[in-house]
Amino acid sequence: MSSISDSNSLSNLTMLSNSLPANNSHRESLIFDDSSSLEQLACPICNEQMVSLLQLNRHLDDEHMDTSIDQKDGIIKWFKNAQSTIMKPLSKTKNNISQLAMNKFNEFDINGLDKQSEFVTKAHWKQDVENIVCSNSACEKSLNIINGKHNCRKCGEFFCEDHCRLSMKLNRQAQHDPVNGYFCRVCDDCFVSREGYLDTEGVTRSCTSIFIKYRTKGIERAHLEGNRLEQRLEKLAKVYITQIKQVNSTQGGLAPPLTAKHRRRVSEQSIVKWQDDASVTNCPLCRTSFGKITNRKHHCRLCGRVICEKCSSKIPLNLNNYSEVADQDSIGEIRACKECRSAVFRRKEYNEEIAKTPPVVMLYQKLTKIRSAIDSTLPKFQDMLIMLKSKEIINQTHADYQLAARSRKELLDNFAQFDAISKRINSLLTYSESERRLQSNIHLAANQYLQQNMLPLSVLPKMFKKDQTQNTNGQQYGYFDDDDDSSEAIPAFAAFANGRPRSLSMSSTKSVKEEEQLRQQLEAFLEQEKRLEEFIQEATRKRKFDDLKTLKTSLDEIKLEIDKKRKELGDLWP
Amino acid sequence: MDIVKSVQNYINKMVNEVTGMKVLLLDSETTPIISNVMTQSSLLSHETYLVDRIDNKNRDRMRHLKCICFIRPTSETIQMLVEELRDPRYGDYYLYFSNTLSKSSIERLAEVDEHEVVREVQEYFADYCAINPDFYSLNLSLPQYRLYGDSQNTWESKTFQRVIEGVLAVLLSLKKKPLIRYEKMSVMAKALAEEVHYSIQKEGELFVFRPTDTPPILLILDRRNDPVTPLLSQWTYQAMVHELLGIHNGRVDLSDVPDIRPELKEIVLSRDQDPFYKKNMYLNLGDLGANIKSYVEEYQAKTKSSINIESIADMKRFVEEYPEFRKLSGNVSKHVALVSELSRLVEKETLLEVSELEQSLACYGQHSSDLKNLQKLIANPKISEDSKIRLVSLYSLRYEKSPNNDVISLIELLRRNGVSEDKISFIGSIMEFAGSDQRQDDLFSNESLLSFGKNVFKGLKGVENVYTQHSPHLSQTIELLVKGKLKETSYPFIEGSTKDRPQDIIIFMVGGVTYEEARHIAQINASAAGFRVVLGGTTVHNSVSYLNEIQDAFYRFPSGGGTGARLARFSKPRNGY
Repeated sequence: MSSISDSNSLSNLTMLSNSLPANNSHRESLIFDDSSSLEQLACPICNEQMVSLLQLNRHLDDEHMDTSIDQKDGIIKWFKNAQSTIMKPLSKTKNNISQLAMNKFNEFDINGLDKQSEFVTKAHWKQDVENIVCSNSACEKSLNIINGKHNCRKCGEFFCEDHCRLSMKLNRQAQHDPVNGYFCRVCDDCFVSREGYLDTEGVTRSCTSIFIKYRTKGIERAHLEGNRLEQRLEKLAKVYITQIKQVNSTQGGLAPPLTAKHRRRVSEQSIVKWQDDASVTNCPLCRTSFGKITNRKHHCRLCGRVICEKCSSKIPLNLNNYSEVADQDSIGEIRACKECRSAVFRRKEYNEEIAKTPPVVMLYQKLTKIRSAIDSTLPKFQDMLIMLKSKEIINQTHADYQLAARSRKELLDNFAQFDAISKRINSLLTYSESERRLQSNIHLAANQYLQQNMLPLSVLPKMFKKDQTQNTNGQQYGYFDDDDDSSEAIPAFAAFANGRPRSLSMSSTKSVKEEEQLRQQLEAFLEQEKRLEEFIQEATRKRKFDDLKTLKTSLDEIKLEIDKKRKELGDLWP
Repeated sequence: MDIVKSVQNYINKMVNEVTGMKVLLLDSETTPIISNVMTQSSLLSHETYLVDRIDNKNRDRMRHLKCICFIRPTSETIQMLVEELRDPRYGDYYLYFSNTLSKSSIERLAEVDEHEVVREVQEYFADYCAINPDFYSLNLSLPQYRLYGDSQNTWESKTFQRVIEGVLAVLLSLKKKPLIRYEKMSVMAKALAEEVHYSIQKEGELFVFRPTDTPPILLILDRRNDPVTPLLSQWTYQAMVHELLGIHNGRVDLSDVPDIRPELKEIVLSRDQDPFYKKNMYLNLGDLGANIKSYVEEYQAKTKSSINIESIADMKRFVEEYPEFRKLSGNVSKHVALVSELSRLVEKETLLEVSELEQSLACYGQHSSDLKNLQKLIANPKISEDSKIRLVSLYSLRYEKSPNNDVISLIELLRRNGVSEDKISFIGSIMEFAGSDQRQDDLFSNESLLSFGKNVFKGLKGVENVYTQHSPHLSQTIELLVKGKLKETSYPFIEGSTKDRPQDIIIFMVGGVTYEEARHIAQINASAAGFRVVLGGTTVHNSVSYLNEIQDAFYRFPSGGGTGARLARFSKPRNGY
């Protein structure tokens, strides 16, 4: 008897140590705590008595697999109860569960995850067939007892143990449901592809509307202030005008200038009250103290404050101050402090400055236009190429072929133009370091763009070529086809690739077509020559002498070739 | 949870908001945030042609440019922005702030915007430096930011505010509203946890996210619980470069390297731009050496093929491949220079021997042999003073409670070998700072018989590489956390609790993190075990910066006293003799 109880307690111990972590890791069981206890484990459908949850599960699988959802709800309800009965003694670490149940609990530990899945539909599971392999693209294990064989509870595919060991919450329809779902075994893909899991968009909050609300208030105030000063300015202008007229009308009599000045001052003060000289000892703006000779007191004619020489300036008086141009028929000048000056003129000056468009802006607009043209034609052209290739259209007279040829010509033209404009931007005169930087950076970005989009383009025609030479041995075509014969795809010409650059065979009579062809080649070579020279410059600048050497050899070679072509053309047209 | 992508996303959104020529205006703190994740060319491709600092007063007026401002909202930067808007240098302004903007700041800015140049005002929470996809830093280093207030348990208030905002930004950019756990022994971790929790409540409207299977966890740790990791020599690429040369915002300064080519004086290490670095950043020096050899061979093969230009076709191919080729050539010389400098330093300072002893001290520790080796190394004039200090510090941390430890004679030995008193005082500082009374976990696994047994076993098992045996305490903490076994008594929750295995974990370490820990995190994430971890801290330490931070703190602490006081603990037994 004692030996039995010993083994009992021992197995209790093992059971506890085994089941506790399981209890921890699958704590969903706590959700079921509220249900009433149920002493017996019985199948809710046929009422058959069961010894363990696992057995019941199997029973449900085997006997009642095809039960409808309604019944399933019943099962779940009952299941909750049953489970809480089972979990209770465990959580209280009591040893009153039968030996059998304990052994089963050990299994429950392993299968805990799958257990939870019982609530989730299996309708979408893939059918079990012979010799299946893991559905994970990187895994080719055949599924068996050793590697494991599991259905992902979400997508239903078969996976090996390693690729189906993650868990996420699914609802009864096997859809992801973090709130009410049950933890289920899923494959890596389903785990990762759940909504929001790979989201890298962080939170943002816009304060623009609050900002604008505050700004509108402030702007109104500033506008009012600006308008007020502008009105004063206008009044002052009117006073000046009348005085000038008076001076003109009394030209005969010698009006002493002092009185004129004095009269003007009086009329100025009738519009804006001047601050008392004696009350101010320091300039209100720069805080320097006034002196009798050195730092004299002045009055701002717009606000009337006493101000120093440095903090004030003369502003022109116009009759119609609202006009766009500042220096139009100015009828005099008045002194105004910094603050009034900017309040009156700031808006106007700002608008003037904004209205000026430096040449770089115009050029840049052109650049953007071309770029967007390229961006829209390039993918189309690539689609066309793929289409041509797939349909094996090699006849040059074919409409699609012609179309592709045209759009390629267009692209190349655009690239050339793009390059030219970017160079022009770079060579524009600049007045400041920032402008210099701006322009060279635009040029840099344009070069980047060309490298990304134009160099791959120059590879594309090879495909053209391949089809052409292989099948029709047709004539040359376009801009970059200078390497026609040595194209690596054609074994017959492979020898040339290792030999000298091939010169075109000379024939005494050349068709117009051939001439056109030559011209194109020459053009291509010239373009390359130019590009190579650029590379060389860059390499020199970066002191990459290794590269430089190879580049120079290439340049010599291409120069040779250009001469040759020129000669050929010259032969043709002496 | 890819924080590099999160930050990149924010920045791409800013520069894509509007088309046309743009200038990007930054401040001193947003500059490193951007330079860590973006390159000049990617900015250029978004028409951002100029990048400037808002504190640069000499910027030219360019009204035809649109201005994208990315600013960390502080009183200084808001003031600068106010001045900028009062007299706008550019056409339109799009204002982005890296953190929450106070109402009064909005009001101030709105008031001065008389020309109505501001088009957008947004909060984009890219308020931290994303170094690896799972590793970030707040870049709070001396002298700009001090970590400790007037004791090792108090925050410096300016730093504290920055840290709270930084942690909040991490959460917001990852869209996580976590349960917060913290290290119980650490007063600073607790203060931070509470403050972050309070801020989450306060900014409730920002923290509304889709529900997750299990609540994400924000775990706030304290460097003081593991003072060992930052003291060890490193052997994996990223960690080693930082330990020996220092990585600052993705840049490495090589100007002190003998015979360095001028273009390699400062190099950039970027995962995104540099596939070789991405592939090798977590590999140790041995594997790295093999890889760099094959990299050079690949390059040579390419050079050969391009030298061998004999036909127009070859040349044309070369011209096409040229940009790629040039990039490769630059990259090869960069890594060759870097790795050869690393090996030179290792050779010069006999770091292999040092590291072997370090690992022995950190991982298992056999007192008599450790002591003997240590005495030998201290006497070795080739080994740098810093290494010696690190070794003795490790020794005293390891054998602090051991009755027959011999720290006093070791310090005496250091003195006799000419190590300055100033440096020696660090040993006292670190004991005060992170001695076993200050730590909450069993760092060396030597406090219980069971773990001691485990330790011995670990030593017997034999290891692949003697120099990289140590695994930081952090990995153990994470392991417990994902198994649901991390004790609430030592890592309590601020509010709520869960027994679920967490699937998303965000860790913040007060007092700095190390690249060794970053590597472990990367390995954990690569194993795809159904959870993701993002690690970050106040700064990324190497042994030098760690030493400096502690020393700086102790010099200022009123309680710390002078060097003598701190070393007094070691001289007490001697008085007893």
